Order: sequence, then structure tokens, then C-alpha cells
Amino acid sequence: MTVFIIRRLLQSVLVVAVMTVLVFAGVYAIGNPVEILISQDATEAERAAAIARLGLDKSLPEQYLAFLGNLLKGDLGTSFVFGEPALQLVLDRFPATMELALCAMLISIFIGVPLGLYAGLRPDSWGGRTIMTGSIFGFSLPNFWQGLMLIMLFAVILQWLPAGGRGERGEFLGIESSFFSWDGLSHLILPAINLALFKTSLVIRLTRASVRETINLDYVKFARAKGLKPSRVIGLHVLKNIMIPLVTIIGLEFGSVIAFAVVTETVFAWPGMGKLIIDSIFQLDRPVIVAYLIVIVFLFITINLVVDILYAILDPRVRLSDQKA
Amino acid sequence: MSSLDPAAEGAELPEQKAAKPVPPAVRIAKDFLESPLAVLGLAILSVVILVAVFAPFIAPQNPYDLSEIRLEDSRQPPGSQRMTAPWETDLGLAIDPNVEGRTEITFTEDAPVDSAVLSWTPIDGENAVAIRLIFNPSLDGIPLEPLRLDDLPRGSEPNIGEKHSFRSFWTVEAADLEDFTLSSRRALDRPFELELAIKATEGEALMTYWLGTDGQGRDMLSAIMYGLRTSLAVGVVSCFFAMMIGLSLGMIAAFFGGRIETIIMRIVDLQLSFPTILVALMLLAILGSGVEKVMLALIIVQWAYFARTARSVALVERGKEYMEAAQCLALSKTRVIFRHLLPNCLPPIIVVATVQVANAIALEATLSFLGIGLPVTEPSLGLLISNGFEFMLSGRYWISVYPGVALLITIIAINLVGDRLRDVLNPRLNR
Repeated sequence: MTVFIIRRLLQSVLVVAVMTVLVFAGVYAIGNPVEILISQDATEAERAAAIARLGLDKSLPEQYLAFLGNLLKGDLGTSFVFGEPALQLVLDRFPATMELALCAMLISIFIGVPLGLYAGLRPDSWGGRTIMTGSIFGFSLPNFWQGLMLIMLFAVILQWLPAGGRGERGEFLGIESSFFSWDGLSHLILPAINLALFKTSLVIRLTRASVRETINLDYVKFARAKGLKPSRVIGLHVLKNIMIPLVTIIGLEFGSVIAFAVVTETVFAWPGMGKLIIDSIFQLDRPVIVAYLIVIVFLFITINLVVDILYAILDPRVRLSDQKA
Repeated sequence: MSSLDPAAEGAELPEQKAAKPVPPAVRIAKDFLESPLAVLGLAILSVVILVAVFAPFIAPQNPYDLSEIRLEDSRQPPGSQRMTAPWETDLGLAIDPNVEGRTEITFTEDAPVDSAVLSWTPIDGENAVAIRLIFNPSLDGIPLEPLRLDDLPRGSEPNIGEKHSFRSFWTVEAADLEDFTLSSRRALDRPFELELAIKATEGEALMTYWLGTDGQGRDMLSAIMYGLRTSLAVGVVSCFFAMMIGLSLGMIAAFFGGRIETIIMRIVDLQLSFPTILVALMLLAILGSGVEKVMLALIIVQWAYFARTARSVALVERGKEYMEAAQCLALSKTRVIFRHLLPNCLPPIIVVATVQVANAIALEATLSFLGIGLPVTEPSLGLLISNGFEFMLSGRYWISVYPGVALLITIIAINLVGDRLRDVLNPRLNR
């Protein structure tokens, strides 16, 4: 087990290292930031001073080494636009994104699992078919368009919910979050549903497939033969066993929810990391772009690592096959 | 080498025997047509493709030709019409009150009437003229502003209409002009010329904006047709290249195995562990936006799916007898890979390709929506939707919704076809 974890860890570190090179090399070749960041009528001396201050006069490898050294110190440069430390800027937006992602994940689990269970138990019923057709729509409709339709329906036509922004945050036990105020919650609902739609479809399909597979296994038949109530057979025997793949996938998908938050945040003007990166790309605010990419890569690799390890703990077969490879 | 070809073809014989006299293509087509939903999808998809290909010929307007776009038509709701400037003309009615007379007036071609006949008769003993102005065809059906009769000789007034409270003209009805009298307090003995100003309230309809217009006055229907063209082109082309790369690498991995396979598949695994949107976002953040950069990003995002499928299929096919036969004949590796392995790997790849085209279109639309995709000069559906977004909150839904519907129809149609293809081409499900 220890060997397995160490191997995975080393792999992850390698991936992070490769990513920093790629990200840095790419981003620092985007264009000439001097022309974008320094006003046209600045004097020659002002320009030179600004270039020196931003470190744009050095060669690329030098810039990278400086960047790498700073990265280890947790310093990813200062935003050209905001004039604040880039990493700080990204991390400030992190709670908003996490809030959204968490809420979306909860929605997709609490809606997806029961629906998938139903569709799996009654695959040929009218309800089961409807659920499956619905999940196809959840898959094939582009995320941003779903968001637009949600805004149109609930914010423009019905005017029940606000169309964008984050609203007020409440405080509870010293944690500031949209969960703790009505205004915050009303702002959170639409983006969270938008972000959850795709994952809900996924969870429905996954649950349905697992249920269909499990329901015919001998132990379920045996439990039935023992005369257990159907609710107990389903709730305990079936549900417990389908949870293993489900938990794994949900864990892995958490990263992709954070990635897709870029789209949702743009649609709903949610002040999270995703909106920040899009704005930064427009303004060529390179330190922020780099900081975001590093944070997201790090986050992803951590999630993958944790899920891998969890899965190996849950299912010994994975460990063994990996050691052989 | 050619003498060996029959042997290679012989490898396919058993399959032909199983399918008996029906060629595989016909069988697949037959199977495909059994599902009404898939046929519907195929029909819609064909229409979409035709519209995209022939957009320049069937679109009511070239949405990117600035001379065809009028800013005053912007944000028109669906079904509104593009009008010409209202017709207007000033008729000079020259009359000599001393003699009876008749003149004919002809109009320019764009006028709603062809000609008019003016005739007049002096009324003896009174200082008056009876005037008849008959339009051919009559002005009845044409919505007109009130007609203005001006330049009347001093001291005269007509027996119809109403004078403006302080200006010199009279407002008259078109029907009354057919027979009226102009009488004067003074002697009416010199020729004079009346002026009749005719102005239509609205112009003629040039075209109908069936889906409304956008913020710049562009016809949405045309914009959608052109956008569909861009979206489909980007999706199909990038998918094609991704398929070429993925297929080659996947088959190489399966055929050679060993270190090459490990390296290729590790890269595939690494890439598939990141969501496509994130990879594309990172690439575009690095590359900047532009058509070729978006396509490059789409190719990089997609090749791994093809590589994975190609490898797994090729691994299965590699162990089959016809492959052994081909290798025993000492055919070159390239020949074995491309002539024997490749054709047999194609069916699942085709399925992946259809689904990936839909995904590529959706991803490109998403990127364009975020503003980091295609440039404004080549707007895809995503960009159209994005442009309409700002108007949506003020209730002008059509600018954003209709391109979205077009995108949706395209993606769903492709997915329906892809789903059915998967069932048809999968031999395991084949009864």
C-alpha cells in the first residue's frame, strides 16, 4: 500500500512539474504585454521603469527560473490589473467556486441517485424511460445554453430568482457563505442547478447501470428469497454495493465540476475563480492566468490522487494490478 | 505483390458467408432504418448539413456584408419586416383655366400607381375650374399620409379638404380629388400649377425577419445559417484530424506494444483525466484565440478518445486469424496496419467520430460563448448566442434563443444518428 501511494505521489509531482513548464512557456508567449499594460502616451523612461518592475526585460528561461523559485515560496507574481498578489487573488475567489461546486454536487447526488435507482428498478416503465430520455438531454445540451434558458425562465419570465451575482453572504460559526442567508441562497440556486444538470445525468446513468447489474446477482436473489422486505433489499443490499463505483466517480467528477464552473460562473456572473480566469485572459493578466492554472492543476492532481488511493483501499484488485504493471 | 491480393481478400470471406447475399453496407443501412428516431435524426442532420453547405445561396441576406445591414432595423422581433423607404412624390398639376384641358402624368417604376389623368373644365360665369384627377390604379389600397394640396392661386380655394391653420396647404382626401372645384374671389385667367404631395405611410416589405434581428440589425435567420456553417466546419475538420492522429497512434500502440504503447497510453490517460473544457481553456489561454487555434485545441482535446478506442479495438483484432495470415505472408508492417487492421477497426471509430463531432461543436460553442473561441469575423453559433445574451435580460430573447435552438437541433440529431450507429455497428448486439 505504501509503495502504491509513493508511486502515485511521485507521478503527481512529475505531472505538476511538467504542467508548470507548459503553462509558463505558453502563457509567457501570448503577446507583448508591454503594449497592453502600459499606456500609449507613457514616456520612454516610464515604460522602461514599468518593464523592469514587471520583470519583462529578462530572457524567458530567466523569467521561468524566477517564477519557479517564487512558486515554491507561494508567490506567483502580482496581477498586472489588480496590483495584488495573483495567488492571493485566485485563492480569494476559491470559496465562491467551491460553494457552487459543492452545492451542484449535492444536487446531482440527491436528485441523480433516486432517479437512477427508479430507472434501474423499472427500466421499461414510463417513468424510467422518461428519466433516461431526460438524462440524454442533460448530456447533449451545452452547459451554457442550459444556463441561459434557466435565466430566461426563472429570472426574466417568472422573475422568481435573480439572474446573476452572488448576493449577500451570511455568517455562521465564523464561516462566511451564501448558504447562510436567504439572498445568498436565492442567488446560488440557479447557477448550482445549471452546474448540476450534467452531473445529474451522469449520476442517473451510472446508478441505473449499476442497479441493473446488481439486481440480478445471487446475493440479491438470496436476500429476496429470505423474505426480506423489498425496501430493505434495495436500501441496504443493492444501494450499499452500487455506492463503491458511484463514490469513486463522484469524487473524480468533483474536479470536472470545478472546471465547468468556468462556464456557469461566466453565465451567472458568479464571482469565482472561473470568472476571474476568463476576465484575465481578456486582459492578458498573465500572473493571474498562471496562478489559476497552477491552482487548478494542483487541485485536480490532488483529487485524482485521493480518489486513486481511496479506490485502492476500497478495492484491493486495483492495487495488485498496478503493482504488476 | 498483386498475386497475393486474393489471399488477403480471402480473409474477409467468412464474414461475407455469414451475411449471405446481402452486402454489409446494405445490411447496416437496413438495420439503421429500423429505428424511426434515428431516421428522424438523419433527416434533420441532412437538412442541417444542406443548409450549412448552401448557406450563401439560400440565406435571405449576407449577414456580414455591411452594405446589406441597416442599423435602424436592429433588435426587431421575429416576423417583423424590412421595409423600403416610403414612397413619396410631389405632383405638379399644371392647369390653364381659360381652356378645357387634359394631361396625363406617368410615375416612376417604383411607385405603386402607374399613371394619373388630370382634366379640367372652366366653369362659365364664375371664377372657377372643375378639376378631375384620376389615378390608375386608384390610391385606395395604399396607406397614405394625408395628401397635401399646395401652391393654390391667390384668393382661390377648393371645395374639398381642409386648410392648415396657418400654412398655405390644404389637406385633402384621395377620393375627393376625382372631382372637385377650385373657385376664386378674383379673376381666374392665368395658368397656374397646383402641387400635390403624396406620401405613403410605409414602404414595401423587402423581406421578413422570420427570426428577428440582432443588435446590429442583422437577420438572425441568415446569421444562424452562416453560423451553422462555421460551427459544423470547425467541428468536422478538427474531428477529422483528431481521428487521423488518434487512430494512427492507437493502432501503433496496439500493434507494437511495449514501451511505445506505455508512453502513448500514459499520455492518453493523463489527458483524459482532465475535463475537455479545462484542457481547451488552458490551451486557448496559452495560444490566444483564432480559428486555427480553436481547431488545434479541439484536435488536442479529442485525439485521446480516438486513440483509446482505436487501441482497444486493434488489440482485439490483432489476435484474429486474418492478422496472423497477413503477417505470415510477410506483408510489410505498414500494409498490415493500414490495409488489414485499419478497415476492421473502423466501425467503432465511426461511432466515436459521430459523437465527437457533436462534442466538438458543443465545445467550440462553449469556448466562443466564453469569448475565447472564434473571432467576431467568423461568428459561430456560440458567438451568436453570446452576443444575444446581453439582450436577453431585457426580454429580447430571440437573439440568443434561436441560435441556441439551431445548435441544439444539430447536436441532438448527430447524437441520435450516433446512438443508432453504435447499435448497428456493434456485432455483439447483432442478434
